[in-house]
Amino acid sequence: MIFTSFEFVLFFAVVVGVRSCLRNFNVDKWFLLVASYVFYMSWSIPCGFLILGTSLTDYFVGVGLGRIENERKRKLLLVVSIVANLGVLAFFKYSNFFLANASASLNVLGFEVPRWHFDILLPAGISFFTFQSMTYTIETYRRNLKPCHNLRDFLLFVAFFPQLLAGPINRAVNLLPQFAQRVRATILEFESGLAQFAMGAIKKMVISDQISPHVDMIFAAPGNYDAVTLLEGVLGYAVQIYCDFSGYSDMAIGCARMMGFHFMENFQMPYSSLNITEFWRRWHISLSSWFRDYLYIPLGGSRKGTGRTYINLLATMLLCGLWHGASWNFVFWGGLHGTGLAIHRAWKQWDPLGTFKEHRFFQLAWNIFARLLTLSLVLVGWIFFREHSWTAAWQYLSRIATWSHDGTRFASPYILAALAAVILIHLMVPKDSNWSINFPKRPVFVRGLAYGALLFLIICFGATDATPFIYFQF
Amino acid sequence: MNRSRQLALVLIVATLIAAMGSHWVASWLKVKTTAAQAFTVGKQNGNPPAFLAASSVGGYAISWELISTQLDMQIKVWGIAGGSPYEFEQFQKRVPEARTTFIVVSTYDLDEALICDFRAAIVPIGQTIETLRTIHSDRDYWKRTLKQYPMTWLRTLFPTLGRSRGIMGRLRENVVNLIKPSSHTSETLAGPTIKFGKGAADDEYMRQKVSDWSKSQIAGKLVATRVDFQGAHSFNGPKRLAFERMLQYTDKRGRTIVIVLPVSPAYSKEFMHPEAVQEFEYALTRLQQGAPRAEWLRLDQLPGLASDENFCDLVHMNIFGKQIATEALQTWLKQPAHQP
Repeated sequence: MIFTSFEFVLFFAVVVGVRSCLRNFNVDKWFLLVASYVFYMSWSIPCGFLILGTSLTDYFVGVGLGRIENERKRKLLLVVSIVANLGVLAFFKYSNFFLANASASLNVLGFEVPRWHFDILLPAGISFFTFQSMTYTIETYRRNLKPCHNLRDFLLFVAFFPQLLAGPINRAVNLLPQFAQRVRATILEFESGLAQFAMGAIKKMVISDQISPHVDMIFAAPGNYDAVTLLEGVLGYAVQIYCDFSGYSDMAIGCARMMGFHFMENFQMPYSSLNITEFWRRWHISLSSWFRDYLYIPLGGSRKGTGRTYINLLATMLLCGLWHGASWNFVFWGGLHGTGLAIHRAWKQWDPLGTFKEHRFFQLAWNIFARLLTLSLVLVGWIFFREHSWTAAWQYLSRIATWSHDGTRFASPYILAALAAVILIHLMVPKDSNWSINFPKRPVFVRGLAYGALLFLIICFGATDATPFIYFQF
Repeated sequence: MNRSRQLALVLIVATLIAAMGSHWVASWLKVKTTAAQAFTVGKQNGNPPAFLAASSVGGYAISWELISTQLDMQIKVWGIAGGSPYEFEQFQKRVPEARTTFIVVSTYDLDEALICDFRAAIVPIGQTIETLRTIHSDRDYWKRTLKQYPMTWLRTLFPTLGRSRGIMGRLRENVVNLIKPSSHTSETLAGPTIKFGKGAADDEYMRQKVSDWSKSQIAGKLVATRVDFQGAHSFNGPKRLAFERMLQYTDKRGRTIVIVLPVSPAYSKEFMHPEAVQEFEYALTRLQQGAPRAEWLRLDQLPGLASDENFCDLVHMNIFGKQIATEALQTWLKQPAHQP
């Protein structure tokens, strides 16, 4: 069930409708749990047992962490949880990657081994729910969170359907207490959630799904197109992935809010960032903050000297790249961003521009330059992120870098229009506010007109093919 | 007013605005909203009429006026954008007096990966479910086919729902026409227009040649066509079953002429891989074996016709192709072996 499909709209309407009739709090939570498992099992029934298994492991680890005071034993329990979660992730997501690299390495060393491969189905959302579940055991271990003694609440925390497939990766500290309370959306929350859901649907159906065939065509055979078209392709992909993933996040957050639950925001106008550090504070916020809090800071963060800080940044981003997919392309993408973060940090400490930045004109020019530089790095990264192979990515990049004239020039009006729309939104909408929160307080006529316009856009320009979201593959 | 009532009012206003906007866009851009349009070609002269089962591909390829005159019989046809035997079958029984049936197909409209946008408005849901069960269709195909029914119901309120590509094509066409009034390039983006009557050849759109298109234009059309296809190309599904039933029905009533049309080489190169061609030929062989009395004219095998010179877009013939195809059909009909 994809958020933009008829089945989901029907499913969600039933969930909201039934919940509004339920007066018993316990029954309400059982109902949400069953609905969440039905939602997940509509993708794959066996995978439902997998999520149940990992949830049970973390639940019992959490209970143990609450009872045991011995620090060594507590650490051991945490290791059990981390190994179980990452083990499941490694098996399903990375087995073939490791096997392929192992066999290739052995072949290079002169051992003739066949190409090993397992036929494994990647469970939908595995990277998201394992990371979310780990926030519980880690925070319980750190004593920032009391262990959850209600199995139903914990199962619901891991499997709650709006965030199950592609996040946001909610922290147990924020979400778990919400399941312990009697939660019902106010009319204001419902409307605000509906508005955010509609905005997400527009991003997905009107922008991302409409340009994806054009972007796919360019990326499928970069050798056939000239540099201008390839640049258009990568700009198109930047728009596509942003609208696809932030659209999904908006819909997830909107769905949850319509039911009275509050998720963390996941995107805040990332392409308007002045530097790569800011980009990561605005792009996939729930993941970047996860890596910051549970990997970068435990590695030492910036507390162990300059050199170590750069190594920590690079290591964190390399693993962030690997989290996205089992391919060297993703690792390189992570490495590129890690290097960018390290260089930005060094630049900030060096601060060669000093007082120049106080001049108004210089500041304006510098901001434009900084935005373009940040965007360029992000775009180069997207080429490696999107292409299926290392060779194809290099071919793509080198054809742009050498400004190749041979090949077809294909001007897609869809990509250009979508690009214009996203630039306009980034220029017009304030970076740090969520319009859907305050909009329901506006007059009836204004709201009716605005929602009518949103609905009109979906009805006239929305693709109804219910294409899966890009981040479902991760 | 309390907040619940306020929200209800807001939602009603929003729905009304969107519905009015949708109806206005549909009428302004002339988006096709009627499932099937009835045409009669030629004059009523007392002879039993012929039934023509053809999509726009058949309408563009053959001058049915000339065929009607040559056979001295009126031809009845229902124009369905993107139609296939699965939809034509519903209209076959509306002309029980027909003693001659023309069924015009190509690799484009027999491809099961392409589902007619109006299928749910034409074929009853019960029959669709029965067919999907018979062919043991996969889950995706079930979902894709059945979701058309609620969509059809919703289209009463929002006629543009699910027709974004057609709208954007028409919109683009309007904008381009504003800038350059003689422009006529984006017809297929807006969905093919069905032309069965007189004057079709005067259409400026039909005068263009795919061979004159730039690589960029061809690439754009191929993307648009690829979006229509979902799943693997296949020729063994509801369309073939319906085709089989149509042949069995006409077999008992009179003469059946099946015309297989070519598509442009640009289309074939992109979508008709050797396995797809093989499956298409296998499907035709099975159909021929199932109705041995049906007469088959393979215009797709006519030398020279399948050239980009003869197509005004990826699947529709231009006036040059139409002339060749019509002459070929006329000559074929005159042959003693094909006299009634």
